[in-house]
Amino acid sequence: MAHTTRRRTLGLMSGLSVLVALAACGDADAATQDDAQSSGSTQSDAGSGSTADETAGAGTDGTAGSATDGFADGTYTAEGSYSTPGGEESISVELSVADGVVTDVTVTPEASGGNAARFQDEFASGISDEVVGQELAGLSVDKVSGSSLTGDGFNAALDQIRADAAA
Amino acid sequence: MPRPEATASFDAIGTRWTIDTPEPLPDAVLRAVRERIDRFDRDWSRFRDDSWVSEVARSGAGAYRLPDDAGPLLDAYDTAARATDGAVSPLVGRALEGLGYDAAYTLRPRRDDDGGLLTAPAPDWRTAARRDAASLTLDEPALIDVGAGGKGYLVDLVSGVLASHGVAEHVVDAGGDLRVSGLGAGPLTVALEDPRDTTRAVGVLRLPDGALCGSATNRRAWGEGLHHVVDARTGAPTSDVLATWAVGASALAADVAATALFFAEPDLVASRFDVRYVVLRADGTLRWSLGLDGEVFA
Repeated sequence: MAHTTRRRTLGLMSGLSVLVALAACGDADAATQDDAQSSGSTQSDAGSGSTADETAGAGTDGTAGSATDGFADGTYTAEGSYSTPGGEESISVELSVADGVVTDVTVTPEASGGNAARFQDEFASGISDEVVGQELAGLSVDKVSGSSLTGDGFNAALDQIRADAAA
Repeated sequence: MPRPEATASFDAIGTRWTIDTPEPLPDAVLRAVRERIDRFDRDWSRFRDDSWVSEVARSGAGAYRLPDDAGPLLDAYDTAARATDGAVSPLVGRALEGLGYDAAYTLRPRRDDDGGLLTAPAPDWRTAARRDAASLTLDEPALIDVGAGGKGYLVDLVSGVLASHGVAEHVVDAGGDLRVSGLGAGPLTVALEDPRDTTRAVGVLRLPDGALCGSATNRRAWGEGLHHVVDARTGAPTSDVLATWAVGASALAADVAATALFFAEPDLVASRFDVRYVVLRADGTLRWSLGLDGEVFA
């Protein structure tokens, strides 16, 4: 599926612990039930006995989750399910861990359709405690987006107050 | 990676514009673009005395005929005000002036005797203003400032001017707010500038079509804690978030969402505006939609 492919490309580039937040029902206006619980987990590679509950959760605040400290290298998958007015829906999360660090996250919505599919597709988010960043000069990109460059009038005024402050 | 064959650049509405197209833009098309931008500026700029918003500010409470293009812009503000409990508002003009961000670029805030910022809440967009298709009624005097969405909306309007002149393939860039249309050669790649160190990027996004807008408090700033992202509920600059980016179908949605991301739960904003996001908070944490096409360096 295209969205899975896209998410696979959103790799994590460094050795930091990463939280995975899944907000199964991200729209506060929606009349869907926000309760969500993991209904089972599997671990495809050998590793610690930790359950996948520790790496992926779904909650009402959109920030549920916990760090991956203590996980052995490998690929972890978790299945979660939750109730909606349209029936039971499920979601699959796959994490790759190397040297105790999440190196890849793939969220695969398994919703059968309607709002649940849309929410699963749109409202999974990642959180990192720290930005590593990369040198802009080393990146091959077409554009840079940040705060808008300011115009001459603003810049001239800014120079003036700096000059006044230094006087 | 697409490389533009031709680029037109100019300064307008206080920022740098570049328009990339496969063929050089004919003079008539570039003229139409500039005229559209000028018309928007005449209506919506609080930095010129003869604009519609300046006229409204001078005239005080009352009913005003809206500019013809006002509907989508103010609709987006309605959505943002609801999502942020009133923090995003087009009535923050006086609050920005009080901070020194006025038409003369005074850049000197009003302060009390102890040096603290003197701020006041902006009129509440949800209760102090009423709107129908053609008119706006203000219950109290207000200076309209469309800084949260005006530039993005204008990027969409310029993209529309290009399309209407047969220039289907283009990239419109207004100071980093981007709209991409019809790139056959592959997605535009865009680095997300780290506001704390503008030689670095916090991520790279790919934009095959649609819009990417960013907002940050580092550049349009004129002192400690003095910048243009103001909470309408207090009239004071916000401090929890350093930078936001939103990707959506339109630059209007992405631009307004980028401002709303300073004040509301990101997934709520994503839902209301149908955007994906990256948010860099002041505590150094980064949060992003997994549905984004690209990488974050976290």
